[in-house]
Amino acid sequence: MRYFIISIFVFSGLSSCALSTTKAAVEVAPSVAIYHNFYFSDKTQDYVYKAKINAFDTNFGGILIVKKLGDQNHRIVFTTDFGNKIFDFEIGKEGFKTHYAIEQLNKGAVLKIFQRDFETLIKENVVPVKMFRDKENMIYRSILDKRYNHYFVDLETKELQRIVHTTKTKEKIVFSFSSVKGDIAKKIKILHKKLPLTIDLFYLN
Amino acid sequence: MRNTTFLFICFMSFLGVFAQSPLDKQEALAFKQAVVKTANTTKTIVSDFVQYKHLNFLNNDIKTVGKLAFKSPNLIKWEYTEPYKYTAIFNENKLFVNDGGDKSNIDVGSSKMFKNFNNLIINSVKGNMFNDEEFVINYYRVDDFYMVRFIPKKENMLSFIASFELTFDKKTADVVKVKMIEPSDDYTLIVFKNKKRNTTVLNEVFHH
Repeated sequence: MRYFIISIFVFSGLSSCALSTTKAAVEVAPSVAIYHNFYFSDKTQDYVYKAKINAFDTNFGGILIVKKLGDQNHRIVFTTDFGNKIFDFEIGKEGFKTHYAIEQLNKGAVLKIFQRDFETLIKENVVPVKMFRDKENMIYRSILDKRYNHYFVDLETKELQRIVHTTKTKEKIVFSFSSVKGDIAKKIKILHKKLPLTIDLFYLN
Repeated sequence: MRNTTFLFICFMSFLGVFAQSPLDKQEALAFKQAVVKTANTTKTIVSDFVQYKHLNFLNNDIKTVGKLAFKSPNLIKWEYTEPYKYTAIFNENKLFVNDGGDKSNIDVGSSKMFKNFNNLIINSVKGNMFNDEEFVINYYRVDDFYMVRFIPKKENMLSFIASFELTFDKKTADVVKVKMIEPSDDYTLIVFKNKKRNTTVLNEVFHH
């Protein structure tokens, strides 16, 4: 009996530690030094998306603009449909900079959520620390801010299907990319699993 | 070649400065009275519009197209039709939104900021923003138009709007362009087309 109870504890302990993201995959020997995410990598391109946001059961819309300004420099602006700026961020060598944010969003915890979302979204050169493979994808695991990003790349099309942002044990955010034309994902969904926050992006240009 | 380009730009800037000349006090007063008169006799407005969002770092402005309907005293509908569908109806203290089929409504009665924003929208569409307590107001003649620059006096508004520029048709005293310039110099420009005043606009137009 005692053995049975210990077994349950050990099993449940192990299962809560196992990251579901790579559960169905097998680890493979790293074969690349860098994985390139090309979705926001073209300096000549204005990336303009219609955005629909559902946060804490409230819907609001607007326009998300991403522009690569330099090799390691992106500007990310969100406006209402009327054009009023909601936030204006820059991610570069010097880190994350807030050029503008409306008062309600200009708070440390909120900005940290945006920082994590957008750093993951625009990160171009990803250094895999581990690689996995499942039936459909090659999976590149990288480290971001003491957490992991898992890049799921379709084995056939070589397109980046999703990025799963996790801690060591739990999935936190899933970025899904679809309707990919060239190096542009025309539909993007950012789904927060531990927060009631979902962002849907539809390419406008 | 570089020098020639530089001189050309200087020359064009010089012309630009002189194409915009301030109105004297009497001209400004007469013009203001004409605008207020037009605004006060406006019962309805319907218009097409093109909105340009200019961000300094972008190659191209973001262009959206739509229709505006206004009915006195405070019903207003912005309907974006291209490149996506989005409708916002301001009806007294409520904002009704249809974002490509996703409907929502926001009670803005408690939000002073939103009330101010709504008043600004209505007044800018009508052209009547001549509130000396809220703005420093300057009047200019620009080619065949009058342009009025409104610089907010209040700090909370100045944090997101450096100035409004309303451009008026000289003959009709009607607003043809609204430009909202942010402290960063990025701006939103709305250009009205096919604007019609005082045609019949049914209340159903503003139903959600």
